Amino acid sequence: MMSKNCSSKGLLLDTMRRESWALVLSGVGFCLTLLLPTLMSVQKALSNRAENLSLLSQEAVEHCWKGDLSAVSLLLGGQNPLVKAMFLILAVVCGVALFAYLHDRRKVDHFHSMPISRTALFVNNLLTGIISTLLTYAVVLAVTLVCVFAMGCGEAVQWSAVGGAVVCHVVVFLLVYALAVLTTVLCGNTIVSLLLLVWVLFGPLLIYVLQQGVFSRSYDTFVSTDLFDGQMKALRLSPVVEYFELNGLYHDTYAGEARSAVGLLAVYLVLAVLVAVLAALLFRIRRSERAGTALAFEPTKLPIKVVMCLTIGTTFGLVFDMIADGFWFWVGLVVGTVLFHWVVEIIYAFDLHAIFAKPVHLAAILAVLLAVMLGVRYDVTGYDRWLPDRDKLTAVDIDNIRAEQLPLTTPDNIDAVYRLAELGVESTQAPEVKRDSTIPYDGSTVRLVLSFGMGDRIERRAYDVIDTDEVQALRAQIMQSEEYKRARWPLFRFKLEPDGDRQPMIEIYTNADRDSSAGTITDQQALTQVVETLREESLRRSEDSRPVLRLTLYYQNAKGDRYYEDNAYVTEADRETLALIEQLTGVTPQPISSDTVKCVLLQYLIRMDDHNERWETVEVTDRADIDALLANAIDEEAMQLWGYEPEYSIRVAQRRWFAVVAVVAGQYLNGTRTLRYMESELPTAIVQKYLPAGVELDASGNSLTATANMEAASIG
Amino acid sequence: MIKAENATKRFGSVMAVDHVCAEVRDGSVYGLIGSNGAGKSTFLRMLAGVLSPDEGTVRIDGADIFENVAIKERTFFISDEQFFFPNSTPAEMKNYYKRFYRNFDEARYRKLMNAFGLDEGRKIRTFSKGMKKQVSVICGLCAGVDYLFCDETFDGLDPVMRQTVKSLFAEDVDSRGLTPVIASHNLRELEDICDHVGLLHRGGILFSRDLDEMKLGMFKMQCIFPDELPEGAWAGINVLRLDRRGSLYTLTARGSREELLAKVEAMRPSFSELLPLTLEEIFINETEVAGYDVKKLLF
Repeated sequence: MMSKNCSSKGLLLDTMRRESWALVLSGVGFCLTLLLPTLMSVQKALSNRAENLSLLSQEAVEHCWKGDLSAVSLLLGGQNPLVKAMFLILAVVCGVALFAYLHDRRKVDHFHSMPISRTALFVNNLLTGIISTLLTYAVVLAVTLVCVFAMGCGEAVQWSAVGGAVVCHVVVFLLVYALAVLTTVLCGNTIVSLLLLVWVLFGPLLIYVLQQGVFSRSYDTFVSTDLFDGQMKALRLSPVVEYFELNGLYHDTYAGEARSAVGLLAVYLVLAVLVAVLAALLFRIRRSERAGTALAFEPTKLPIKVVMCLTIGTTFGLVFDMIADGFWFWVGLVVGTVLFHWVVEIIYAFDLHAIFAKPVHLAAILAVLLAVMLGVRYDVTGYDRWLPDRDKLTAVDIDNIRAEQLPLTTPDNIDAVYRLAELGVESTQAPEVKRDSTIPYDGSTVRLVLSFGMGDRIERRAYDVIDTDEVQALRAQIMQSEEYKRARWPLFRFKLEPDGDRQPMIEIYTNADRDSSAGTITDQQALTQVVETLREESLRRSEDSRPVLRLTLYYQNAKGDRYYEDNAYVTEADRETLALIEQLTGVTPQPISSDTVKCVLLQYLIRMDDHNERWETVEVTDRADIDALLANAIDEEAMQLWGYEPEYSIRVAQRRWFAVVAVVAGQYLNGTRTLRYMESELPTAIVQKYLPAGVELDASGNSLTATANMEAASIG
Repeated sequence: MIKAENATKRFGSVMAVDHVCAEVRDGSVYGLIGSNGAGKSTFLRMLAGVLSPDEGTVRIDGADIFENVAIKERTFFISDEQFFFPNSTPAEMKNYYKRFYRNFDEARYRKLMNAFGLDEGRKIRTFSKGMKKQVSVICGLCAGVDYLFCDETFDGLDPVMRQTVKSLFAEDVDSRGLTPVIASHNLRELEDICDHVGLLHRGGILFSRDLDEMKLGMFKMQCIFPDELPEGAWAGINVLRLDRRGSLYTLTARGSREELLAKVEAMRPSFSELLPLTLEEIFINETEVAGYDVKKLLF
């Protein structure tokens, strides 16, 4: 309740007048980050056009003009990093400054003796920061838009992008602002508030990264997913970092697609409200006498200290582990924990003499941390031994760490993946199988990443399993399944309908075309016909077949910008597609011409003993042998096949002990082309013919030397 | 009426105010005496609603003060370290207070600012310590509140200004029943204004008494006796303190004025007169009776 004179509106205006620095700061900030850069870009666009009019054709002028306007659009839209930085600065500065009076006894005495309820005081201060910032932003944005229109660049204004940017800025500002207010209320000192705020903004992300680091270090089967995912969902744990990934109401992906971020922003908004309500509740019960102390709420001291000590201790452990393995991890844990316990106690007491305070806490934190780390180290929870309950499995996937929804749901595929998991657990427990993620495939083991869907829950595990016939059969069964192809092959992901101003297009490459395409399909009807025919044939195809054409799938917008989707392959078994492509474009499969090849180098990796290897190169100049080597060869670069390609379900023969290089007549890079073969087409006879002296096949007959081996190839 | 019952406030392990019981009648001037760290400011901050008691209650007219806006509208706290908004002027502070105190007397504010020779358009940060105190006192007096809580308010004021402020307090007490509660470590500052005094020591109230009550049965007298007084000459008088310098006796005694004069006259002094008692003397005598050495507590 307030007195009659003390209307909330009047008080708010009064406070805004008193705290006019916020208006000035945001005004100057937004002018420098929004108005000025936009005007500069507009001026540059105008001067570029004036200059181009006399130099370029009308079409080129328009093209450049559109490019310049897109730079203006970017500044007005949700990708302007300067505006984002300004919003974050204002959120922190306003949130802390408007409540920092709580840290000064003199001010607390004044404000808390006044006849105004704490709730009203909180709302008044909260609204002061929000209105000062957002009002100024709205004014500067309006002025900017007026200027852009007045200068004749109105077409740069995309209202949906501007609206999305406004929503995004406001929501993230509110969340960070509410967090800044909360930490200021929680603390009794402004410096400590800022430190705590930094922790709140980045701590969850740090904890996530540490968890990934510890698991990755300790568990053989752990799959680190999010941090290597293009979308980096973990970044959402830090709204500040995520903010810079947002483009208004969308996430821009690396493929040029825009995914809606409305859900995320809604979550942020709800969080902002909840944090503000929590701050208000704490503000009401906060004891005035806590001004000047580190933390205003005594019960929060221990939990905050524990979380910080555990986190920093783990960070030290992992950093020490990166510098020097093993034992130093444990040293790092102890050093980090002890150091940070000292720091926290000194901050809590504002007294260096408190460095050795609370030794029991320190001992307990150390004990907990070491116990947890030992538990992880020795897999007390059975993480590596875990197998899902087969009956609860609803979906699975293989060799894909990014999917949010697992695509394989047929009982056959689930059974196959489950069986692979069983084999994986057996392999993990077997001492002879050493996990080494730097060598994903060495011929004797194969690395499998299996995803298990149990309703909404998804678990992933990575296994290095012995590449037995059973494993190969299970993998082939999964990858040749229609479900797998439809879900994973780029050919089926490719959108045949135009998406906005983006038109689907195809470029065709043969074995003979490394640097330029042999043909292009842009006509929608022809493109649809080719893709649908290839889809049908590829689904029917179950045997391995050699790829003879590479189709590059991409989208192109009106400005000529290309958005690469992926490759698709036409094999010699896809006769209808080959005929159709020939009919539409005149392109037919082209082998590597032996006319341009001067010689072929066969490179042998000879293992001297368990620790020593050497490469030996043999030159093949006999034309008949060269023709035989080139007959079924695949140009690695032209076809962009480097081995096992799960995205295309193509696996060409790959050997660690042997390589074939054709030396060509100079028109290609380095004058050489690396050749690959399907398993069934390996030129084994010629390879054996040129075997260096003293080198023999091993007893299994599967390799050229006692240590060599081969990998089978398959093609979907 | 202000009533504190077992009001207790701890700051960590420090007991700042320890089960204090006190009553302040409306229209009285309550002096809160105590050495540094005695708990005066803490008690005042509880009265002003800044702090909530950990135990016990602090009430005005039966209502808790903490987070009670209606009660706070009737109180004004002049802290020992006053706060003014950065770069503010007295006029801006006045406008700010006007927003919260519906009875703020702007005419009186102008009158007092003129009388004190303060420029209401000048930045307060350029004022001296005493001038800042004056601004606070003027705002407090003009707020039109029933209770004024002053923490070491006379510190930094020159003697003339101190007397002026006391006069203003007395005027408001008389005219509209203002109840000032004045905390100070200096007894002498309060003696000519307070009518009730409480002595705080180590968080607890040692002593709380109405000055009129104390003064009523206590007198100070100086007498000269030409002859040596016999042993037990003062036996019939309730002497609290007796000093002798040659033939001059100075005594503080309890009893009625007439009875004391009659008894002293009966001893045939060559000269005798009644002297006014200072607050300090009354306090020293009373607390000594209560078993405390107030000199050790205050001076």
